[in-house]
Amino acid sequence: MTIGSKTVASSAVSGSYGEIEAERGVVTLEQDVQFQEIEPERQLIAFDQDVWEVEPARQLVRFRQSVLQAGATEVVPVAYVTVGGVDYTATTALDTVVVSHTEDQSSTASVFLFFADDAVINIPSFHGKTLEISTHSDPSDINSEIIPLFTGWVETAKYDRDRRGIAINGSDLRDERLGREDQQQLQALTGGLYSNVTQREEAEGREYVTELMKTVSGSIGYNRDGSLLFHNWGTASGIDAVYGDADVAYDGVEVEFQTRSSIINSVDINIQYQYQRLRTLTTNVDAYKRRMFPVGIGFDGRAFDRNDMLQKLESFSPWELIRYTFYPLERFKSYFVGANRIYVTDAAWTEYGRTRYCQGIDATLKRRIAQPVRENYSMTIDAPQSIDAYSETVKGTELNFSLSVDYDRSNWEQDYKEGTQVSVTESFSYQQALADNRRDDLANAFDCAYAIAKKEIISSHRKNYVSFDRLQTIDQYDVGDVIQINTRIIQTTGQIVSLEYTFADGVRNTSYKIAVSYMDTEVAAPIEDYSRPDAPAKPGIGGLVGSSAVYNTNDGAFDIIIRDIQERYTDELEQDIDNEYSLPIENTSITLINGY
Amino acid sequence: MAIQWKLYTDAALTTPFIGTLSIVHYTDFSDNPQDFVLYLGNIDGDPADNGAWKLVRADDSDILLTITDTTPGSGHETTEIKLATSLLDLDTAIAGAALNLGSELISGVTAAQPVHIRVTNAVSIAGTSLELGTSINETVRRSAV
Repeated sequence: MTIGSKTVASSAVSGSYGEIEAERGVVTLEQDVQFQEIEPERQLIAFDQDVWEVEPARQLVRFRQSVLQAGATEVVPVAYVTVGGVDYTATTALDTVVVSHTEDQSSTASVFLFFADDAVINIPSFHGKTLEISTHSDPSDINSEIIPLFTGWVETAKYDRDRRGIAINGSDLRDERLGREDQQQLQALTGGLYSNVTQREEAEGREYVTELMKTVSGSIGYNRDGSLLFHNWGTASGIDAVYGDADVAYDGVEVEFQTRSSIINSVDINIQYQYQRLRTLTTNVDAYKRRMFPVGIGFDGRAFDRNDMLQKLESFSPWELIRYTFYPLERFKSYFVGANRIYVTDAAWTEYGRTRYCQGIDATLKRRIAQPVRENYSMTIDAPQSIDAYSETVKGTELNFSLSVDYDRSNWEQDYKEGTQVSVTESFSYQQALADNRRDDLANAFDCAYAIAKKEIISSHRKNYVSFDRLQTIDQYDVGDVIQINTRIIQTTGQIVSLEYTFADGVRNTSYKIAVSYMDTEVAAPIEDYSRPDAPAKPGIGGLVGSSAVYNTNDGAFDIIIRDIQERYTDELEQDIDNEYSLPIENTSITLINGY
Repeated sequence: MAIQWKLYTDAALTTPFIGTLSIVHYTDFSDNPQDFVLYLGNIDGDPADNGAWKLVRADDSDILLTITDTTPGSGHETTEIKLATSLLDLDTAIAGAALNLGSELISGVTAAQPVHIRVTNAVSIAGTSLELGTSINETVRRSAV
């Protein structure tokens, strides 16, 4: 690139001095001064908002009224069966009523309804209708409390010609109903986390519940009476029932230990975060030529039009001219060639000329670069108790996530002009915030990823099961309740993962399956030490680029060279951040004695 | 949404009422009348009994417990049920009428609202019915502060 103009004096002795333009008219500035009063920032409206929780209209009491013949003996039904709000107890085969509740699954029930011979079976009376099963706490007392056992809907109904009735299976439609629950309520109830980065994006309905529960070391479902039920895994909530030898059927006790291949005691998480680091590169162009530049026996007396110089520097886009200082015009004086004196009249050396021309310029230019930066976070969650118990670090599925900031680089590299900013500091901060605006998403992703890995590890350790029956009793417990069993055969504490009620001829039983978290280790449980990884120090925002300006006498102009921008300012920067965490796992003892 | 105001079988609000009140009647009406009492309160949201919550209606009208019948005109009728806030008021309560609980209820054990129920069977045919019930209208729970 060359900058130059020839200034020819009207009465030059030798050499070329350039052209002098005609003097121009006076510039008149017109200014309107307007009166301005500043109104400070202030609050105009304060919103006082209360958020009330709605409790919907609902039935509080349902009256079950049994009218008996005068003098009749009160018969306490084995169970009450209601279909579509109608009591079918009298026509239910009470030798085949089974209700099952299992963790993370729909509760089910099965009953058989008799219908009168030759009667038209009213299909709408049961198809898709509600199904409720309950029983008295005391099977001999009609006035004893009624215990709900199942609240749901008729899922399947099959006509059995041989038995002359309909075999009905009910379901509490857990997944479908969870999908209709309020998302915020579910999050508040479970403490679950959701991120578009770590879980399925824009999940709704039952998908949302599935994604939310990935971060919860617990289970959600519906209670025996149809109300929403959530429980955290573990026995920390306290023991709900203790059963001894007299409480548990001696036969039917089963203990099933965890499958070795299902153990996971370490999970690696990788999260990449990409953003733009906004840099401002600076170069200084110092172009100076003295007026009496010696060339041969004479001098190059060129000077330069200031406007031309500015225009040329401003044409270096995307470099932006920020500051400049002209080297003032110097006087071309008489000089000697040998013994001869050369007299010079410098036509440019006037008051006008000194404002019009210059000997060069010292200018600062800036160029903006949006440099991509990738932060690679690596998180390893270990369960040291399990690693000791199984003498191996068993890795679970590696979790990989990434998120990037959607920022248009041209906003910074081309559209942004420092010279037009009221406050460079504020405007830069604003742009940088736009180019790095997903830190909250990143923080949420950390939390979600950790919770997902935590659940994976914990769930793989609570698969030791103890199953037992309690005969002639219907217990009012739910999945998630904690049972301590202290019998001659088995002593341990676990959490109910399955509960089954069975009514048959002479049978009125509650069957339990409890999950026990057990490991063979003496290693103490570590303190859970999760905290979000710290962001690394951000790269610098500045940079210097070299430049040169050399006067070329042949061209009568400056050759200006701005060097190429170094790759370390433009190429993607990678920063690695590694973190390790220890996860405690509940370790409950199991005592198992062989015998009758 | 989380429902905190519930019925309990005891004034200390320790035993939740399951929802079904099972009653045995006789065709000769020898069992009439039968009285029950339940307690409407909020202990889940106010275990410390600080009166932290109010239950009101969004339009500031009174909270009502109404008697419902899924099969009006047949079987048991709403006139078999009387509701009152005290045992004494049951005698003068209007059969089948809604129970007015006032414009607000306060949370906590000490503010639990007794609901007295008197059931007088009028059906002389043996059978089991689930047609009658008692419902509460839509309310809002707000901080008492």
